[in-house]
Amino acid sequence: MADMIVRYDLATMREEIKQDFTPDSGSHRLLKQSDISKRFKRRRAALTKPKPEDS
Amino acid sequence: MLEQFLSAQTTLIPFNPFLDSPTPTMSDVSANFTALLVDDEHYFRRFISQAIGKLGITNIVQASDGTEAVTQFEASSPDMVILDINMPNKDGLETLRDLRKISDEVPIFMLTSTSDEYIVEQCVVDGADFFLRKDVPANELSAQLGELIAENFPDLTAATQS
Repeated sequence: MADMIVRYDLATMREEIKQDFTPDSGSHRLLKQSDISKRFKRRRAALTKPKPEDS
Repeated sequence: MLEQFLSAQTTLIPFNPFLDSPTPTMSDVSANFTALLVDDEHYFRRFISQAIGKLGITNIVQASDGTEAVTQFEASSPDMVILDINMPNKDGLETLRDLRKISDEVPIFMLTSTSDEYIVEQCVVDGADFFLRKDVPANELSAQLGELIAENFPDLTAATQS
């Protein structure tokens, strides 16, 4: 029984680790260069966007 | 007499539309261009220096951590900064914030092996101009640096190619 629990937990833990540390999931995602570039382009676009004039 | 003088002038000095604003040469542009390169790894500073040197940037001031970077930034007034993130004493994020307090205009490019989403977002918020991952093959990184410099400093690139 204990052996089964350990095996089950290990498998579950392994899955959790995969979810946490793959580039596309988890709270600490690792970004590809293309994703990083998009974020900076969006920032640049936001900075160059003309502000609406106060009327 | 006057006619002879004018005639001599027009023959000796042909019309040149660029006479008042000569095209800048590579030496003119790059001689006045300074890059601040901040990385704690000496071999990496050497690699980047060589890569951007081939693009015409030869005035390169180096710093091995954030504290030194701020000092060098104030002393050398660089035209661009290449900034690592993981460094001793003062990391790249803190350095970025300090440099932005000094100048809002100098382009700051993060160049780091970190690609964590949180760190990237912090760099966007804190005013970095771009972010390059350095954990890529050397030729790929050189090409990306070339594109980045061509995009941000077209005059420098044009002068280098002429």
